Amino acid sequence: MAVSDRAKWNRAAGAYDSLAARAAERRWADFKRRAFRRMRGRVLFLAAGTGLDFQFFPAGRTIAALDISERMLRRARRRARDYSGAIELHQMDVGSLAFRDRSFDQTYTSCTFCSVSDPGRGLAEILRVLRPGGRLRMFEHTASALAPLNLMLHACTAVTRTFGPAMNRPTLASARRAGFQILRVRNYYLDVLKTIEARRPVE
Amino acid sequence: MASVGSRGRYFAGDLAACVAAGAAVAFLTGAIVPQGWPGWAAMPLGMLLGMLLSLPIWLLASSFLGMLEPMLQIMLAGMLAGMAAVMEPDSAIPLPALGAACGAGAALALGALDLLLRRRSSQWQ
Repeated sequence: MAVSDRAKWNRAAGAYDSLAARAAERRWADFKRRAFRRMRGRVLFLAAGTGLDFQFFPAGRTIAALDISERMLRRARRRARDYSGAIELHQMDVGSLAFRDRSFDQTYTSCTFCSVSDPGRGLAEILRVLRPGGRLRMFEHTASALAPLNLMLHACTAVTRTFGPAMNRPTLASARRAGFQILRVRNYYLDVLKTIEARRPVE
Repeated sequence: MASVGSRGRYFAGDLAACVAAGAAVAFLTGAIVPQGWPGWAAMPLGMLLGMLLSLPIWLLASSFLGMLEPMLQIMLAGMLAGMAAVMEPDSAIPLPALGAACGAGAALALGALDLLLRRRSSQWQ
């Protein structure tokens, strides 16, 4: 599964910035800046892609950023160097993180769980590497709670899956199922683009 | 807040893209689907064709408006315009104008729903 994910995103890497990501980054710049402003402690950032999101990180943080595609990461390297803090890049699958248990204070995602093939496994891995009480903050496209909108999202996904993301994932329910305690959900576009704030329960 | 201004600009962009998609899709669907088909066959065909024909306009618009949010709106605009074009082939209103109205309706309806859902979501869950 991860191999086909890697192949898909390696293929997408060449045109990703110009075709898919740059306009979306412009559209949601203010909202992403707001979503990332509370980065503290040891931070994990998932699915970094070509590093377009690095410009929205608050200055001076130490962040481990990963992506499954080596071609995406090659493009991310320059942006990581330009960041006024430290970004370590790792080529890694979200579904099998090579980090110790409880090694991060916070995990951030940006349009990640519309793109990984096994969201449940990825969320379980995040839960494992977060310390108890640690925060998961997600900026994600998800399925809608409204049936007519969901029908449209299924139709859109039939197209978007061929080159990248799925727009109909029940990410909020998946995070709950994985064991996260949901603290806050904020919609940015309909109930389809949202931030989800969750935490690993304190044992 | 800067984001309020940018929301307005993007709403105007989405609206323009939906109007353009609706007009083009209604014109093309009207030309492709022969008149006189029974409604039960023409309606789903018009909707499907409308969604497919709206995709090139979405691709064009995505360079300016982002990838996924405009897609939802433009495909809805295309679906409605395609349906209207095959259900009202003899309309007194020219098909592109009918399609443009469908596009505007889709963008405005989704804009209103967006406002509602954003307001409702700022509560703690």
